Amino acid sequence: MTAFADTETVTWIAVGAAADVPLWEGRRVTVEGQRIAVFHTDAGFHAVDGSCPHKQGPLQDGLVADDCVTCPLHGWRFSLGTGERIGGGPDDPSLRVYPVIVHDGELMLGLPDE
Amino acid sequence: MSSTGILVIGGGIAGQAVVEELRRRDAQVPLTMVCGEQAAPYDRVRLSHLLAGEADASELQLRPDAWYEDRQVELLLGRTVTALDPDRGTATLDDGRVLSFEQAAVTTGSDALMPPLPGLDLPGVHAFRDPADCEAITSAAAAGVKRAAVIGGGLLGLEAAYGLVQRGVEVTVVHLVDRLMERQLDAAAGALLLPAIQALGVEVLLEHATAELLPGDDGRVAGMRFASGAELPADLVVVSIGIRSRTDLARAAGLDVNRGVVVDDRLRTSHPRVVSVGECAEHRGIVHGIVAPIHEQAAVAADTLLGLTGPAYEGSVPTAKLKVMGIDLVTAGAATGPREVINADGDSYRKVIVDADGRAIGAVLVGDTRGHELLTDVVKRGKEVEDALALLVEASAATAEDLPDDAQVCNCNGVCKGEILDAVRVDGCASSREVMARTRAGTGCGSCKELVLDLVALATGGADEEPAYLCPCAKQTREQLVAAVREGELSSVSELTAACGAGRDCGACKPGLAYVVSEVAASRHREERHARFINDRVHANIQKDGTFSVIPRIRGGVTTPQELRRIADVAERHEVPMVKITGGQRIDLLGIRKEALPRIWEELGMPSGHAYAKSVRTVKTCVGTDFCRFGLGDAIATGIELERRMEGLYTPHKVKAAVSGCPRNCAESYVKDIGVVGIEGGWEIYVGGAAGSTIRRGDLLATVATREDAIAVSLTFLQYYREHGEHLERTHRFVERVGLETIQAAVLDEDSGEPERLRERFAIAKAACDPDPWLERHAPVNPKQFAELDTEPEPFTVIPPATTPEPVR
Ligand code: SRM
Ligand SMILES: Cc1cc2nc3c(=O)[nH]c(=O)nc-3n(C[C@H](O)[C@H](O)[C@H](O)COP(=O)(O)OP(=O)(O)OC[C@H]3O[C@@H](n4cnc5c(N)ncnc54)[C@H](O)[C@@H]3O)c2cc1C
Ligand code: SF4
Ligand code: FES
Repeated sequence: MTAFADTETVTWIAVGAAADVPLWEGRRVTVEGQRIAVFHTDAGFHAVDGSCPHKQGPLQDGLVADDCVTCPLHGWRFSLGTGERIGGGPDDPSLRVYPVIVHDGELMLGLPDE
Repeated sequence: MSSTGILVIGGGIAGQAVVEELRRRDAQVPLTMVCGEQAAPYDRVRLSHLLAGEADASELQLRPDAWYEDRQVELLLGRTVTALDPDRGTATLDDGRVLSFEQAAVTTGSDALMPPLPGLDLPGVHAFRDPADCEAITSAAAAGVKRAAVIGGGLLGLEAAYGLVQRGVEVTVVHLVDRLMERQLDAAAGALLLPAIQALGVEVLLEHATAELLPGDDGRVAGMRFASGAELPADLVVVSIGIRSRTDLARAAGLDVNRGVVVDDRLRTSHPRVVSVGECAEHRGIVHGIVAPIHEQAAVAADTLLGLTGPAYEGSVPTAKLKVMGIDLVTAGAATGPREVINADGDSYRKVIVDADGRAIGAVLVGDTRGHELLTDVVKRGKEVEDALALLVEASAATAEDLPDDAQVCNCNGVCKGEILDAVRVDGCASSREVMARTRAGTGCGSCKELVLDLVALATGGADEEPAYLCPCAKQTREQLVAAVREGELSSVSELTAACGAGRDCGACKPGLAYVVSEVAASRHREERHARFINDRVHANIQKDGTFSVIPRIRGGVTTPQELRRIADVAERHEVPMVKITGGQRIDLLGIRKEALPRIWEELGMPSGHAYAKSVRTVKTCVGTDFCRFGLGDAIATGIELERRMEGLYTPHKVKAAVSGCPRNCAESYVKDIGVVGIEGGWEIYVGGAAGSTIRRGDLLATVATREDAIAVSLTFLQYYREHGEHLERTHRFVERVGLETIQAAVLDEDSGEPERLRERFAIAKAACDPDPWLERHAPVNPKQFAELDTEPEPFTVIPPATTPEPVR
């Protein structure tokens, strides 16, 4: 989770039970009106913007593999680690990546402080 | 044709290109194309392949007849325009008819240039321009002509010579100047080409001016005399010294004509209503005799005709490639210039030409054409080149990946790299064959085919086509995966991933893996939802806004008033945004939120129609003997039973079936994956039909006497397809790949025991499948199966199952 920059301070927000996101699947949360997709892989939990920059496809519904998710609508693929589009052009927008931790079975999402 | 329409005069590559560019921009404007030749527009470039015996005359047509019908383009074949009046907007045809037009495109092309030689009209002397010339030349070769001469050592002359050598004729190329292809090559490159041509068995006479063609005793051509007085025997002469634009019509119409019909940077002629494109047009003093400029011109001309603004046409950089003969030669732009950088050894010659300002103006590659796409692109753009030698070296190592997206890959059809990548990434083409059919890249002269294959592999993520990998990342074919599941007695996708790595990297193949495991492991299969596309996790089809559609099963398209009432109630209660009759004879509720799915299913009380899955979809029926006065078979009952027997099964791609009561085929059985048709005394079973993006009439698999047999044969075929179809291979491609005879042997030859075994495995699969996944509403696979972290599934009260009303029969 590279966006977890040391210098940045974040506020942790509880977004739901870790058990509700099955391994290799994703679910959406809404934080301050913003849709964020949380994914569960064998490396833990990842969170990225939930809306595909292509045509706002629901990324939480995508197929998940080692380190990426594929949008269910037209197949754009993004790295869960960096948020970058895989196999696209250099100017394609990236997804924002958010830190997630599990505390007492709760998923905690880190939102950067203003 | 109405006077608001556009008239295209001449159906060559240029006429066709104008029509395609017009239709790309405007589906409505009335379009008529008058084609002087009997054939619909064909690919003249491929006449070289035809002559070399590498193509068939039937393969040349650029677009199938249906293309014109579908796009409402009126073709007048074998008609010529004999007079044109641009002021009045009328054109007179050779049959006396007068067409009126709002605007016109003159695409009359050119004729082969014939020198004013005595003896040119002797039998046995031919141009090399159209299919009739090819036919005449090949039949002369077939009739045993021994020695042929080709006048002209340009690209076409060389290709004609090669075609004749292929047909066992001794050939001499007679050329006026001191090197072959002098318009494209400098002396050094010409010197390298000469031995390569001779090595093919072609004699070459340079600096020979033909003065006269000589008749033999039989009155046919027998040889030629040169200006020097020397003679060369030849009983077939092919003349290929250039082209002459066909401008008579334009000239008589009062348009400005030089060598060609004069056009400006918008391809407009001297009359505002008329544009001109192709070998008949002259732009800034230049008449092009190749295809690439035609596409560049046609795009601008279409804008002009439709009153659209767009980039102007500022000329084309000429390019040349030798095709068919296996000699590597590519040129672009100028052959010589102020600064030249050469990289050569005994076998190859690579040169970049740079102008005084340091911009690339030409490239000549003989013997080693690596990176020619990159170099051609640099020349076409007139890019500044700092270190031309470094550029040459870089080009040698360039791969498909290094090309810019807008670099033209297929010059014949004007297709650039980005369009090829998009065909895979956006339009979902999975193989180079599909990409070529869609974009037409690689279907002209064929010289860019290798690059097209590379680009397709690049876009599909390195997937080699041979073999077809189900998981390209781990390079696993379906066969390998089937073997892994079988040998390891694996029962889930996770186990398969652990065993061979498939599905780990990008995950795109996981649904394919899930199918393989479920098919092989059948009753042992352990379903894992992460391996399924979202549709198969929530048993509904995802829509563009992230909502879903709900299509309950309505077997054979037969419903009841009660069922319709229930559907109507649900739609009303949930304010369903759209209720629609589908093309599959059932009803679709569109725009449903994920969270509402379980409740809606409960209220509908109908099973899933599997309209979201790669599985058995529908069996359409017609009213058959029940009601129809022509009915020969009980289509409704047969269709309903067939659907019951097949439903719930997953398949390599979707499977749609139909049962029609007679060959009038009202249920469209001939174009279904499985189509059953009632005939006098029995049933026919068709397989591999299609009427989606591909149209194909199914192949007759079998004719049987009874309904039971028709169903049995259908199910046996279905199981064979389930076991042998590639992931995402519809039956029409499957049947073509495997061949009907192989399928018939497996499905029908009862003596072999194989049909019986297929039916047994079918029964096991059917018993193991989930006929109604919508019942998961009562026992979700996880608490949030139908919700997000921040939502909950809508609660509902369980409605006791109503006694399913029998369909009105
Ligand atoms: C609902 C329906 C259109 C309608 O309103 O009538 C429909 C809707 C879709 N079709 Fe279809 N097809 C529908 C009948 C057809 C038919 C006609 C038929 O079944 O008799 C065809 C031609 C026959 C065939 O299958 O080839 C058809 C050929 C396609 C194709 C092209 C398949 C091909 O290989 O050529 C696709 C794309 C694909 O499968 O890759 C497709 C894909 C789709 C998808 C699933 C696209 C997608 O992946 O989201 C559409 C879902 C729309 C949505 O928003 O839910 N649909 N589609 C029809 C549902 C039938 C049903 O009751 O199950
Ligand atoms: C054997 C061969 C190989 C070639 N190989 C290549 C190659 O590898 N690469 C390349 O770039 N180019 C190649 N070319 C050149 C290329 O084929 C031409 O540049 C191109 O076909 C020209 O198209 P056009 O539509 O302008 O003209 P044409 O093909 O001449 O088409 C004009 C059409 O208009 C019709 N017509 C004319 N007058 C009238 C009228 N009054 N009314 C109705 N119809 C009329 C004619 O009958 C004709 O069908 C090759 C050409 C030949 C002959
Ligand atoms: S297929 Fe034949 S039997 Fe069936 S409805 Fe059509 S005409 Fe009638
Ligand atoms: S909306 Fe995500 S790929 Fe199109």
